[in-house]
Amino acid sequence: MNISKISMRNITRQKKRSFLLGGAIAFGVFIIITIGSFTAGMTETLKENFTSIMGGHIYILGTETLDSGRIVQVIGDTADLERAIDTVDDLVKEYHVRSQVRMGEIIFGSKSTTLQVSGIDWNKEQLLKDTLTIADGSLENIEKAGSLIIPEKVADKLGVIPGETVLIRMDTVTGQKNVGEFTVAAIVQEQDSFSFISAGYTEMGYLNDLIGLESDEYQYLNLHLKDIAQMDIVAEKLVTELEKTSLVDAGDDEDEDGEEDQRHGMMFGGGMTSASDEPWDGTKFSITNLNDIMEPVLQLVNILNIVSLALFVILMIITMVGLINTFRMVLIERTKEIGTMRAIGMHRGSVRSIFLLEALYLALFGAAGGIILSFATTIITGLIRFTADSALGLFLHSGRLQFITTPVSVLQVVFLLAVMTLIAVYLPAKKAAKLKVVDALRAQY
Amino acid sequence: MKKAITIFLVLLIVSLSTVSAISLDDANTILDTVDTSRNFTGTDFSAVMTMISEDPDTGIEKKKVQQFRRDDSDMFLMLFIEPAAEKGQGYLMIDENLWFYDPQSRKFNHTSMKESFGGTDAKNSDFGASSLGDDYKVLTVEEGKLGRFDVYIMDLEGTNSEVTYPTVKIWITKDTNLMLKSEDYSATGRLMRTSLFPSYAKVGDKFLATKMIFNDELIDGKKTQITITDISSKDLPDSIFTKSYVERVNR
Repeated sequence: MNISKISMRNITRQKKRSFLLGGAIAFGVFIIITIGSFTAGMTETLKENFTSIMGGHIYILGTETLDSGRIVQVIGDTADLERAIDTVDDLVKEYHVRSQVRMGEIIFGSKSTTLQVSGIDWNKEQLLKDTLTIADGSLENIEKAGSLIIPEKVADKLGVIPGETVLIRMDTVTGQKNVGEFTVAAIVQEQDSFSFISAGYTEMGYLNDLIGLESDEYQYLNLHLKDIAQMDIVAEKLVTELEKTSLVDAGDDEDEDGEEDQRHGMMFGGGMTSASDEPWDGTKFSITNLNDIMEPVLQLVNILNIVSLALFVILMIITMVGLINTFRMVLIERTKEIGTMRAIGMHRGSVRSIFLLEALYLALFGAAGGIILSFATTIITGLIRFTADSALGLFLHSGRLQFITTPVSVLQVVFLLAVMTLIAVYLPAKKAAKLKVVDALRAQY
Repeated sequence: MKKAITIFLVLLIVSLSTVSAISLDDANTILDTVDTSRNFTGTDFSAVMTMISEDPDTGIEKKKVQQFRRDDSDMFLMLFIEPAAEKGQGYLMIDENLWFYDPQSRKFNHTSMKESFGGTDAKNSDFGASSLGDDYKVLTVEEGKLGRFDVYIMDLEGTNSEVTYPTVKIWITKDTNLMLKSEDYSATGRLMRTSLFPSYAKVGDKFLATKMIFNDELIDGKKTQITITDISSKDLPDSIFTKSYVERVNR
């Protein structure tokens, strides 16, 4: 009988004890894999939602000062910017130029609600069209001035259908009040899963006219990269290139007045009209990327991961203490058996290996149980459809929670568990291996 | 003879119309007078505003706000007294900066004079010092009647691209130069808001609108009515117009 078979047989000798120990290990594995899958899915969903609604991965915003000292959001002179983006052109999939009304108020009859309206150059921005899921109406005439796409949630609230005319109250780039007439061309799904922003889209030239920009001007340029992993490198390169010719706010410093918060706020829309103490010439660029915007959320994800890891480690320490005690008892129970095996020629190393393998098998069975339980839980939870208005709205992908479990993350947990188990059982195993044959055979217990 | 009478009548009508018409320069001067009579220069001002907002979506809401103004230095403080959920919130205007204080987060955030005041149909600029004469120029002026009042009806255009409404139409009483009504138009020429000022009180040598009605012309049935009471023109301590005061009253 080889060592592996003996170890396996030993597990089945004390079924109840093995089940309890394996169950504790399974619970710890279940917790860490489920939370890890949730946070990975949450991060991915947020990235997808942000990319979709922001129109890319890197966002270049322009601000200029008026003679009065007031700051307006516009990229007036594009020559420097074009020169800079040429240097990263091979890494970019699509360029999206946009103007935006951050806090527009869409009105239909006596009903109104908040809507962020983005002005889109439909000839250049194909990806957005591909990601929109039409619930009603069509994108056929979307390039027509005044055509508007709104999310289903907004359409439901207003009771509006495609073909009807709505008003949008907005501010111009200098902060003046204005109102525009729009015809609802299409009502889209999905956007409402990103529930904290209701995003609408219209033709850029028409929106520009309403917010006081020239038809060919825009407020920011978004870069949709071929590889999202290149995001920080591309952003850094753009900052370096732009700094050669223009004022640049790279987005990596923060002052106590919450300048970074303001910059992120600006990324979500136009019409910034605060006064500047120190006016500047030309366009001042601000470059942020998806990681900058998601930083608070990523911090939350990291905290969740740390908490789950701490919980896992605590659970494992408790389990390992149980494991040590169990194997010390096993050592006492099997002293005579060890003496017999040693007497018929088994080496000390083999005795140690039997103990270690028994513990390892127990840990692996427990891990397998935890992984299966975690998979079942995530699959079932992933099937539940939440309403966009729920507290989870921000983390929903098509109305559902997304769980991502990677083989690497599972293997990491299993490896960590295996190492902890082997360390815990090493001392009883060593003690068992060191037993003298005569003493073991003479043992009265 | 008949011809002579006709010529006489034509001349009479022309001369009368010349007498009653008002030049654009005079109209611009009247705008300055409106500002002068509404601004509390040389004295401080405080009052309590009761605001009743009607919204077809959210129903009727009542707010009470304590108002402090020092127009000489372009400063004001508006502190919410009611409802309980908004108590302690405040708008503080100092050094050309308008701050909104939220007692929940204990933070001051920059806001703009053009923004809505506490979610009502009034704008923050409706409660600061009046600057019609600086911000607008008169395009046309005519005489007319508003109810029983003889008024000048003026079409105004913003002197810069930063005024809240690019064009405004106002009704000003001929005898007292008080604004009774204004219509605010968007850059696209659509009527956005109608404001009515049906009653005024004399405070020292100044006039204060004690009742204001702001009608949202884009949303049917949405309006805000403001009544001003407990008016005082006594001097206020300097400490009122500070951030620390706003924080202190929230402790």
